[in-house]
Amino acid sequence: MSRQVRLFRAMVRALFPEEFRVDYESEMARTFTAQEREARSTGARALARLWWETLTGLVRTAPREHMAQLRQDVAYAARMMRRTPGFTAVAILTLATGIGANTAIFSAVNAVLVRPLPYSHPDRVAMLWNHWPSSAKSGLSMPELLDFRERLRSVDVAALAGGAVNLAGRAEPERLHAAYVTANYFDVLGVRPVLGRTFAAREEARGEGRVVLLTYAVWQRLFDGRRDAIGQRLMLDKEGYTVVGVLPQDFELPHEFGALEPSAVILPLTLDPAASRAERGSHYLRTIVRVRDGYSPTQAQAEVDGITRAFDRENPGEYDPGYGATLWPLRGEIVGDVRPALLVLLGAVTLVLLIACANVANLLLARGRVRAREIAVRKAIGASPARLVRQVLTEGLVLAGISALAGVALASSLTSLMAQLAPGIPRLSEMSIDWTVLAFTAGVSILTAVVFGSLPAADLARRDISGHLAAGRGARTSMRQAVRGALVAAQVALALVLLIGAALLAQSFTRLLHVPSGFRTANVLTFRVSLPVEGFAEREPVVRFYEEALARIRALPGVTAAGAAAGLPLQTEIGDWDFYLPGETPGPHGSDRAADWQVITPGYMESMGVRLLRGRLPTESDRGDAPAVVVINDALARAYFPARDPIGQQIRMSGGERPWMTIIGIVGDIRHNGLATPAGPQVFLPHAQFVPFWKDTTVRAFSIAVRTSGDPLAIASAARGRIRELDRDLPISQVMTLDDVVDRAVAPQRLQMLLLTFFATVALVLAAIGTYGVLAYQITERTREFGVRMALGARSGDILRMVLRQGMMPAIAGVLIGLGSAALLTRLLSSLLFETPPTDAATFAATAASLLAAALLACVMPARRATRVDPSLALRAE
Amino acid sequence: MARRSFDPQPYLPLTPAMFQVLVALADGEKHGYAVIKEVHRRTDGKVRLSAGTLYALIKRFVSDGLIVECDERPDPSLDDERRRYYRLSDNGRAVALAEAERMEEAVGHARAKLLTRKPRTA
Repeated sequence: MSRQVRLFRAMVRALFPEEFRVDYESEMARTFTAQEREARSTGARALARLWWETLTGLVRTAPREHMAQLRQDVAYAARMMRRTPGFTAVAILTLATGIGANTAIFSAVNAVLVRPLPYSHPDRVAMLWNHWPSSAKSGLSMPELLDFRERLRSVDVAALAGGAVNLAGRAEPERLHAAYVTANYFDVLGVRPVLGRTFAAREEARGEGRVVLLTYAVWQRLFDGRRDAIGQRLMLDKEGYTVVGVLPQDFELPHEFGALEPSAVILPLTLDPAASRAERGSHYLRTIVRVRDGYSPTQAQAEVDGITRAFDRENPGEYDPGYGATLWPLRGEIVGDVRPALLVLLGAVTLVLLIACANVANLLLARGRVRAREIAVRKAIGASPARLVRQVLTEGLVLAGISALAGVALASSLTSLMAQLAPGIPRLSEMSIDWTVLAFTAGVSILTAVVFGSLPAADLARRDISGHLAAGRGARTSMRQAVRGALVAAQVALALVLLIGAALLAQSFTRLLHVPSGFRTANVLTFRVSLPVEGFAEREPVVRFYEEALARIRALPGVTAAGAAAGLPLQTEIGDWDFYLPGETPGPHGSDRAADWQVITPGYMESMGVRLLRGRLPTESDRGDAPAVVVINDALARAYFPARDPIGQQIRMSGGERPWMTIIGIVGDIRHNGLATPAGPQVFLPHAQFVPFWKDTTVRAFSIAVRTSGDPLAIASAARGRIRELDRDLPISQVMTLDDVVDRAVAPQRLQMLLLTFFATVALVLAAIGTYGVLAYQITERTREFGVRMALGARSGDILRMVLRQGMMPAIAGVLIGLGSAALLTRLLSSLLFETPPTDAATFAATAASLLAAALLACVMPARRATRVDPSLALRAE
Repeated sequence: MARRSFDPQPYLPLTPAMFQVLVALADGEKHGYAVIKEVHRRTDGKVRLSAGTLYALIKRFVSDGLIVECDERPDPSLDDERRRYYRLSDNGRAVALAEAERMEEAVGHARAKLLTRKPRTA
């Protein structure tokens, strides 16, 4: 054979399927030999032409042969599936659950963690946060922003302050969330408006910023998406603002991804170069930076570090030791909090899919026994083992393909449910079954088919043909039994890991809900009111307004208490301020004592159901001209007055000329900044006596809490009416019960817990089905053996115990493996757990016991069937 | 004879290569190389079959019952190696005829529209 013919044969072997080659390879080689001989005798050109035609012919026809075989295999697979509808339905349902769960969670991961942020080159953008020994991330003050902007060479700096404005001049006044930004904010983010322009630098000057940018949704709502919105005027806080631009539809401010009430309008931030030194401590600005070309984030951070060291030198006493500022990459800022939870869920659904694969593999192995004769006959008439393995794998692909379609439908429902259950998770609303997700689904399906199909395929390749044809029933091999038992053990182990994880999260969530929040949520209506600057620049008019409003609301039928605070617990965060006691002189870095501070009106504590431990609460008589008073919480009393009664003692907040305040009352601790965050020292300052820490920061926006004897939402309309009696252009917003406030605060934890519980339940059901299925099949195989045993005198009880022991062995092995695996893996849940150790022994034991009970239940039915075998019938069947 | 119940229409139209292979087998049994040579000669080299193309067609025609595989025997005109011979079945003949009629009809339509030169008269 010449080298050319050998090459030709090698190509045929490489390209064509085996079935074709068995029939035609030799003949093709003989034909090519004759062609090659003739071409060689003609010349090199003829030989080259022959090779060209041969190669193109092979390349053109080989794929068609493969496709023809695939069509054959798919048609055969479909026939087999139709012949066993029960098996097919169970397999598809099992796989669809695993594939669907993976698709749903991946679509969440894709939307939240993978999809690019809607900004230009977001990897060059970072948040700039101050950090203090007591606070890892804190905003910048106006003087700090101006200093950073002036001195930093490696980055462009922009800032944002949150706020709200009242929109008037329409049928109903409306309160809109607003963001105040520097003129270069959108350049730093890398966002262009779809209409008009963003802000000019001159509009940062005081009095020059009567312009507004609309978000896309507001533009649609207020102007029906008309292009002539540009140049129109809106009345915001009783001032006219000109619309200059509209932002893109998919635009979101970095801190508002997942926000329930994102900013509706964007206004220029007034930069005040003459900002006083006192305002260096007012840290309210969210600052973003874009690293300039030619610089790296590391260089930028080094530059920031140099400037913060200069701050300390230039402003003695202003900065604590340990103060600094850090650049945090934007993506991590937006989704960092949810990354661990999403990755845990992705791991969980992977386990569910593996369990589903093991289940289907077991079903296929059992069915392989039933198909043994068919396989043997096909082998006898010429089908090679490779061909049969290919057939089995194709059947697996068809099964996986149909399951994938069902899984995508399931995923679609799951994603809708997830979006509803946790509306506050950043970017979760962008979840969709897009091409990336579908490609992931396809990849998972193929992998699934290979995983669950390979075991039956390997089993098939090893089958002894003669045994099947001659014996009339397939011989039971202990190896096959061992494999099936191992699969059951694997399923049980994986299910146990998931169940323990779900149990830990459920415990954590329950503990979170039962943590003493410090206030009573039942029957309390809350809403927010924000007064405009015009007419309310000073404290007194604001105090009078809220006094009158609260008096009218208290007069409503069913109202038992009403009060207001600058921000509600779990809805806003409160910051700390340092204070000192009589006789103490603040050091160069201020006082060592600090407390979270809150501004309240009379009636607030009563309406929130906060417990008064000692003394009294503020009343209307604690006015601006009366002696200054303050209420503290129990944590402050224990920390700073351990040996004496705080009532009657005095404290003074740091900075400027502030009055000494007499402590009049001690209340229980309130978990304001999160249920999982223990309350630290807190001070409650009566609004009528509150001296702002920074100038021009009169507190005008308050959250009002109204305690009722019945359904709190029933008085919402009446409460709105009482506010409008005082100012008909004043809207109320964020109307909800206090129960809803808590609900929203724990929504992410609830979603994690519900999802993991759902997946764990699915895993438990699959593992139970797997255990039942394998044992039921083994009972069928051993019918003769039971018949013989009973004929020889074995009692039903003996058979029952024997079968249960056999069925429970893999389950027990799985539980032991699962306990060990869970002990390692549940540590990954640590960041998601509240007051629950990841290796809580009681949880492990209780969950393992439950799973064993479920396995026992799954074994009982087949075991009872074994005891009902009629010995005479069983022996005759042979 | 083709069975009365056999309908060649589902097999049409044939590609040029498919038609030429059937025609090549119309006048007797041939092995694969002989088919390649005959097609090359009959079409003046316009249809050139490679081994891969030919045997893919043969497999399909055998599967569809249009050609029948005969026994192997040596070809003394070649290297005397044993080769597999094929012949046209009645159904295959019907398909080839149907294709020829289809092409004749198409040529007729073209001539009717004056799209082709009229055949030269003697």
